Amino acid sequence: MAKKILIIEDEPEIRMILAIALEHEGEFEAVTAKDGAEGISKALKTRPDAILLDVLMPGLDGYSVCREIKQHPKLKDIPVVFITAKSDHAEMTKVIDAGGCGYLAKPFDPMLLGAQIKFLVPALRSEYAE
Amino acid sequence: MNARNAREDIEFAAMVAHELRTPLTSLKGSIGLILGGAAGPIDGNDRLRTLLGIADRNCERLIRLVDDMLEMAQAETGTLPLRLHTAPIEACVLRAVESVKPIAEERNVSLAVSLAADTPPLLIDQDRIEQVVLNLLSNAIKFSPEGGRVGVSVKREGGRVEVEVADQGPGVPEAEREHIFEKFFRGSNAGSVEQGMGLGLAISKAIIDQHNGAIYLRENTPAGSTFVISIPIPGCPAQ
Repeated sequence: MAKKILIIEDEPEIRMILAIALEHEGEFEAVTAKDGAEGISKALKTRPDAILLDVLMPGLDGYSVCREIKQHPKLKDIPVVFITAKSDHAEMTKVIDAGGCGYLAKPFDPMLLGAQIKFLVPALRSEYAE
Repeated sequence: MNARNAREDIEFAAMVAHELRTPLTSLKGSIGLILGGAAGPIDGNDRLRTLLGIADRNCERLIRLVDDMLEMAQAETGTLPLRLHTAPIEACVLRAVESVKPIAEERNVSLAVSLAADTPPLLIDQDRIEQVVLNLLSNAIKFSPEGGRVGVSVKREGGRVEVEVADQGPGVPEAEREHIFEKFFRGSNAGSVEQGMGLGLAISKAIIDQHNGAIYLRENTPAGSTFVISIPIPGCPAQ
């Protein structure tokens, strides 16, 4: 059964590319949200297996959204992977502090996206399937 | 430049870098999906594959330029983040050599590595040092003639460890020698090789400066150049 990934990304084109890239291999089903508020609402409604979360968004930034997710009793166990234009030690520290399990740096290779998310979130790998 | 202007420059460069990364992510993502067959099969359409390959490579090039711009802004103000650890510099050199092997093979340039046995560990940011060695090796390969040889060696010289990168290229014109580490400088010999912004050596110098080291052109003849990175050994008196 396809694993459900919630993509929270304000840029509509990048949102679409992420969704196509994930669904292309047939292993994932993508659900999308344009900002943090919609993301949290969709997370509650769809209970995704993992969340891909953009860092820089208008309104609540990705770190704040992640902290809300991690404090929510129904969402706290969902792994969160950040998508960020920065990729350095400081960024990694912020990701960990916010409760994320890793990040993907923009620009990413869409054909490697599925493999990279599975690397960061072991629960998405087939050997961990229930 | 005062501290406030420097901070504003970095913030501006970071903002430009981010603003450029977003459309580049869309562009590279779309090209990657088409090349990967996510928009339908492209097998058998060699012309389409070639054109998409050109677009993809140039996208990569723009991404590198954006990264360089940001790094240069940080380097100029001495705020390039360094993660310093005591580590052998040889590991950085060997990783850089591994990275350039495909380009060297493509250009039929041989690589020779020589590591001395008595080099102590240094206080370095391994990723940054690898980046500098990679830059020197890439330049050396780019300027080497077909069938040429690029040598890289690591050895101890008194209280310092030196990494030498020697090529058999046309050398640097003497009039340009003092400018090669300046930002946006592109030598007259660069015309025939891949276009860049002329930031690679300037960023390399900034990285080595932040290690209290030196980077310079030691040998320069029409038959080849030798660039040197020299890093002080912790605890050894400065010379």
